[in-house]
Amino acid sequence: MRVFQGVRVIDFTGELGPYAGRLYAGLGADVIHLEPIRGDPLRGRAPFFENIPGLERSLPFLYYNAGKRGLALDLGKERGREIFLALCSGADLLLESTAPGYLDSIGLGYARLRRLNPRLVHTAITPFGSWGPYKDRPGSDLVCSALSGFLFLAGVDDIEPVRACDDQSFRMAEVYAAVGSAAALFHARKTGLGQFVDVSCMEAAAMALENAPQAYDLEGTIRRGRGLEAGNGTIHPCKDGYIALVAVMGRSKPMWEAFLEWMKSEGVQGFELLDDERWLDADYRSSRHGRELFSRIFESYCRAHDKMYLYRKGQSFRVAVTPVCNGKDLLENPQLAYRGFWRTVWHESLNSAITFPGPPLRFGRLSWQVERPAPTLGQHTAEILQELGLSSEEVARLAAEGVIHVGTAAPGADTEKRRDLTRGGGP
Amino acid sequence: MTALCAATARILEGIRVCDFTWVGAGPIATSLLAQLGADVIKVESATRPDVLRLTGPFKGGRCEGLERSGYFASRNPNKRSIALNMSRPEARKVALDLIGSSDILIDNFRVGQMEKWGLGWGDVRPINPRLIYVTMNLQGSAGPHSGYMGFGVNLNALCGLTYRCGFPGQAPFGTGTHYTDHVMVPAHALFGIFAALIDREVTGEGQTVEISQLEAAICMKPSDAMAWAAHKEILGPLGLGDPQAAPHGVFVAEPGGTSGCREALASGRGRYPRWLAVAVFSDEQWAAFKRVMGNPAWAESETFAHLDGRKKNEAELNASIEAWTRGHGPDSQTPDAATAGEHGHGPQRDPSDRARELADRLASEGVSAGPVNDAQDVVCDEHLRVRRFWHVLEHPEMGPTLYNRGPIVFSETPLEMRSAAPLLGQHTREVLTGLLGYDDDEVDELTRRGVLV
Repeated sequence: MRVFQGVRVIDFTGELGPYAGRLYAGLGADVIHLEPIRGDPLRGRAPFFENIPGLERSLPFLYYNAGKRGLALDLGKERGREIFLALCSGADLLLESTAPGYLDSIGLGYARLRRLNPRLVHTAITPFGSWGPYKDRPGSDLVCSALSGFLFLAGVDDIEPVRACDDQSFRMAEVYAAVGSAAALFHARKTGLGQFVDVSCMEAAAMALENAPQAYDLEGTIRRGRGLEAGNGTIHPCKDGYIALVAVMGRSKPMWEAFLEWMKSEGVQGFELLDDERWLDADYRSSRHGRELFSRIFESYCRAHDKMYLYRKGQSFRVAVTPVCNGKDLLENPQLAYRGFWRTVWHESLNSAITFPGPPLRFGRLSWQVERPAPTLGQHTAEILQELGLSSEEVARLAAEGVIHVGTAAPGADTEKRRDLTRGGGP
Repeated sequence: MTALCAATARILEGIRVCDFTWVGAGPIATSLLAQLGADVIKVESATRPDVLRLTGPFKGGRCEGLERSGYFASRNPNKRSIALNMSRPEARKVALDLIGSSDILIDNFRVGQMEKWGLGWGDVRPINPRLIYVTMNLQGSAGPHSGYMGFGVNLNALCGLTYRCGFPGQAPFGTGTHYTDHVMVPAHALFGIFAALIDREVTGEGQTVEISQLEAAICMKPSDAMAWAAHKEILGPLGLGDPQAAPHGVFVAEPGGTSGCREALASGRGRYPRWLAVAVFSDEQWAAFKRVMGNPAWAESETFAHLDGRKKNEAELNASIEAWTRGHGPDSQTPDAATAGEHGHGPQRDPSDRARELADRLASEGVSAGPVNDAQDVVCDEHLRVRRFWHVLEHPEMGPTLYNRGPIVFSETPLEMRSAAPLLGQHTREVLTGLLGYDDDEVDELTRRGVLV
């Protein structure tokens, strides 16, 4: 069963925004990804399949837009805007990440859409929100992370902070946009009324400050990242990489004792020095002496073993230790394999299968499926316009006029056909 | 107390949540449900309190009792709390009564804990077929590692974030936080809850929603696994860079340890450098960047004219830019301290803030730039204040304390910040007598027998 079967989502997102619509596609919604005639900018984002750039080769594009249908059109043209309005008239949800004010400026803003379709939920995903002093600032993942306070935490002392991968401030806004949209859809089902939902990267990333705002509010202190307290969230080198360890938190004696048991059973040199009440004191663990002593003892052991050994061994003593995984480790993770997490979908345009992450959550009755590869540029333009009632002649005419781009499932293999279409011949 | 808007429609009006979650990811998810109008009843016990109640920061810096932690409070506004000692056999009936009148049951315990209490899906479904049963375990309920332990920093490592979150050639660092707990896990849980609620409108039946924290996290960072699967490439540490942008990084605008008043230094503020973050993707943005710098001669070099050259010579580029951000360059201008400090209301900013000044000038020219804000900067931020992101709520023991709403602004059904985090067991009697039909004598008796503690 698929809960969003019959739900129509219009997804006008680019580098920012696409993960929200993917969640709807996974649960069965008909998600139509709109993109400019020249292609979604996300198509230009690395990494690329086989490291060769190309419109159909961006791995992020292939992942975030999997399960969607694709329609390429030019909103700069009157007929393009009419198509947009027609799509929104019949939609339940519009997800878009255009600059604040842009849709209004071309007559496609929420006020207009609401008159056409009072049930529509219009969710805007932007760097700073659709209103407020920063709304027109140019956004980027790095700057949204910086302004939100998220970036500052990713470092210690006066060392410069480090960036999280995969544009996390975008992803955070997208997943919250999916939540806000679902809440508004739930409400619209009951009341018949849609609404405007405003989600920003800056606010979403400010959800990830842990306790830093409260440290400022209650204690007047400014904190940075974890990692300077021995055994509590520390990273240690091992034979083939690194591991992350939480052997103790606060004054938790049971946690520390489990860790001691592990060290003891492995006959770690100097483990008896860890068998001391002072290790329950966070101040001692944070002291230079504590940190150096801990690292000396623990790393003499962990450097001699590989990360999967340490993972299994430590966990058998109920110690929170995990490997620092890279992409290869993830694909080889036995738990993920057991769960059948990875999904592989054939991509005609690449003449290859692409493997990507599976469902982020599982239901008792609802099923998650993304069996459709991300659309090639304009792949479903003709199909969708014909569903709107346009004849194939009209579609061809619009293509010839540059209002739309009509693509195929495997562009490149099919350039002849595409040329025919743009000249005005029928499909 | 503040509320975004009084007496408006609430999306989850009439929805009750029996909330067994604790620590990080679970309480953040149920906090959002409460802001959407759900009646969230937090089940806890002084016999095994939420560890965050014992984890700082504390009001006034003092850890006394269970009611002074801001870490705990920040995740639990708008909820009611009942004290229920699940190690007592009589507690199960109270729990079942509450579950029987709830729409959503949610926990983030280790696999098997709810079953041990006789509160597994199979146990509770017969008494409430409409119940949505949400579990948020670490790696799924079955499989070779399903019983493994871990906290956010462990999951950061396991899901692949930590490996890439570091500088090339150095040990990986990570986000410096239990990041997976903050957004990746709770937001996916919320999405699942709404999907199940919508499904229930149609079918009349509840169901299970299972979040594997590891899998939810991986879904928000697909590149490393995809690149390995596609062409056997291991994506390495990202540093501060972006393969398709330069300059892209942070630049010291004020060195640490030298600026700020004594009070600021004591708090840590002023001890750290103040950085400016800059992201330049296009040549057009680079031209604007140069304009703001005053088109210095070095920047006109052909080396830097296009992205390729800027990437190839990024270290040199960054050094020159940092000379400018630090104010050492010949064309640097000192921000006007008098005008920068004139933002009247709210907590005061530093009178001169070179990072902010430069960011404003760059942004007005179309370059993405911003100061690397610390918590004080973010709490005092003008944009977030205008958008009413931060709220001050009156707590019975802590007094007025800081909270933030969820990052969603609804035009018709605004999130509400009604009340501060509850005291442990603050609503035990109210919930048992008002909602579950117990009388006061029964409540007294259960309290005496150590059940409602």
